[in-house]
Amino acid sequence: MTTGVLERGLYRLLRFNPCVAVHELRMRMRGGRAFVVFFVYTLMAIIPVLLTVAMTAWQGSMFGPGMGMSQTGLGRVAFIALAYAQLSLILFVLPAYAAGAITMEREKRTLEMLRATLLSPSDVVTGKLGVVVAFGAILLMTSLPVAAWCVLLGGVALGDLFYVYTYLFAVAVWVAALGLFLSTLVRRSIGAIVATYVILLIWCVALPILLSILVPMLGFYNWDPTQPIGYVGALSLITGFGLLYAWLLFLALRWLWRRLFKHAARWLETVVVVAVTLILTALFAIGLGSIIWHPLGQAVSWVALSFVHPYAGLSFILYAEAAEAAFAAAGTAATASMAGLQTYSWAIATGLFVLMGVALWARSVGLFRKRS
Amino acid sequence: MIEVRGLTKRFGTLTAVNDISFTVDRGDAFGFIGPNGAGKTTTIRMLATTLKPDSGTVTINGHDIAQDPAAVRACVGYMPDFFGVYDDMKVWEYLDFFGAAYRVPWQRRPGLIGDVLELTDLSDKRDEYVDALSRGMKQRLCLAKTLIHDPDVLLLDEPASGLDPRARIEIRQLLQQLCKMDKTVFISSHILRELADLCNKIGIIEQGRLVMAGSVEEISAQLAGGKTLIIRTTNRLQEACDFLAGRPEIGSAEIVEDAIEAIYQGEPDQQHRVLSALVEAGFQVESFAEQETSLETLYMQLTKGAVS
Ligand SMILES: Nc1ncnc2c1ncn2[C@@H]1O[C@H](COP(=O)(O)OP(=O)(O)OP(=O)(O)O)[C@@H](O)[C@H]1O
Ligand SMILES: [Mg+2]
Repeated sequence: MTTGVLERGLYRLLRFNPCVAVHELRMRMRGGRAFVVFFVYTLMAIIPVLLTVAMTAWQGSMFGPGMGMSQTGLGRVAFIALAYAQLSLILFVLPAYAAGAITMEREKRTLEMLRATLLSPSDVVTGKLGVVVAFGAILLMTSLPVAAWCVLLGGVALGDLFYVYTYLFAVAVWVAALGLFLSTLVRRSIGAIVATYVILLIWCVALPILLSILVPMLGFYNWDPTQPIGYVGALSLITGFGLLYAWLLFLALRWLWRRLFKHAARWLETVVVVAVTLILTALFAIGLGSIIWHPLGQAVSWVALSFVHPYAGLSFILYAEAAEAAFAAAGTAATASMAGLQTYSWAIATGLFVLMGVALWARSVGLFRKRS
Repeated sequence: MIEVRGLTKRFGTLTAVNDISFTVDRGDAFGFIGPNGAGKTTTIRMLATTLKPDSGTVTINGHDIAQDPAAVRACVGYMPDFFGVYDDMKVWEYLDFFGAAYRVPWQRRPGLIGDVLELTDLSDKRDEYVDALSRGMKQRLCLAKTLIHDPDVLLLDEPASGLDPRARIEIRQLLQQLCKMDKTVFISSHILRELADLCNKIGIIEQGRLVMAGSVEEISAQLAGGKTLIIRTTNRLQEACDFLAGRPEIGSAEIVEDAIEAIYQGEPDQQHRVLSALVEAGFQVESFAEQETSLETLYMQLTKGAVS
């Protein structure tokens, strides 16, 4: 029976109809509009880079070479400016593309015809998501020459380049999926676009401000790895990740159950799935707790809390080396395991955004199917 | 072929489609007629599997719409009443997209696109942008889209609405051509005249109920006894009309211009009693004539104009 699941999954994946994607690409890339967007994007990404480079050079000339950044530092400063500028641009540009994807079909009265075709809900949603993500990827790629220039200026490793670009791509996946999700949820384009921007504003601006006020008060915002993480911090971490874990687990278990036992009673499904979810979540929480109290966990967990936030995640990838140096200076037991901090940070942050994107995508497909 | 049994759809407290049943055989052209809000669109959407019925079953070409919607979609071409077109899209791209959406292999699509464009007389518009087409052309394009996967069954929701008389006739000719191609056509309209000479079967729906369904001959046979009386009086026309409407053998009576049109449903060849009754009641009858009830009149009578 389980092989059946696998086969069906594979079959469905291969049968995925790319025509929605082709169709969207045709419309979005037609005429000069898309290229205007690419051009403006590159320009907006370059301006902060040039400004920082000019500023740094000016400081250097004012206060002598010793006071200004060195050549290697200059490349790094420019790269950091580029990374933040691109993150902002991705968060700003993609929602507009994603949030209208489904609502626009409804408003133009083409949705009814689309639903009557042989395209499955996942064909439609995946096709549209794929194009927005591809658009994000193209936007990111247009800035690669600038990034290469930063590498040439020095101070940027190829690893940094890889980490930052894959991370930005993961954020693009997440934003696109968020926009698309709201596009299936909300009836009108305006509503969906506004909702997406409002959520992003809260997530990226209001939440960090709130955290920066709250977290120090809770004694949790602690850059010193020798200090144990506060109880409140640990609890909120366990709760946050526990909930995310429980939700994903619940969805997965229900999916599995429905494929294994097609004709079982609903109440039985609910009881079994909820019970298994609770047990596994409890185990997860205990595991997470013990990791948090472990020295490495101590360091990773306060990092992890900031990862769900796009700018914090980027900061951590960009400044991981500096943090590593700080840990080395602190010279505690935890420092020994700090060597791969940048890789860990990148893996966790990127993984989380991709995971959130996939969860939103799955929800969108479900919603689209239900709304017929 | 289409088989509908006890189809029902409710929106909140409103029953938009109420327990309707009918059969459309292969090669039939079924005209589905009813006033605004009667439930035509709701019915068609259920047949096209874009709306789930509350109860009842529908099978199309032997496939149940609830059990196997994909098989139904594969053999059904659906043209909604209101439809949009994508901007920034050329006519052939539009058709190519829907061809792909119906899983027509890409090698076959260019040929099919040529065929449907030919059929809908849009061949010279192949490379135009869809949103630049006129309303009538868009309607024909939508029909072309409906035909792209060569479906056996066509569900057309008011395909001629909003068109000028000439375009209406063109659409009608096109539909007649499709009927000859042995397609099963299900077409809705609120104008009976439009369907009368195109369809061989007719269903009349009002307030969600199927008032009458059958072949045009059957309906005509039912009408054979029915006559319309055209009566003129020199005085009290309105009173005479009310008087007639109150009589049991008169189905309905109304004033059209300067005459009363009354539908006679009594025993055959007893119409003279109506005249006697009128005269006895003191109306000065100027003329009294009768004519065959047209489909149109029957439709007006059946639906009573009771639009929700
Ligand atoms: N999605 C919906 N939600 C709520 N009510 C609806 C919905 N769709 C249709 N209705 C109601 O169902 C009834 C039948 O509507 P329907 O569109 O089927 O009529 P119709 O016969 O197609 O009319 P028309 O000739 O104007 O196109 C109407 O009263 C309408 O208000
Ligand atoms: Mg309608």
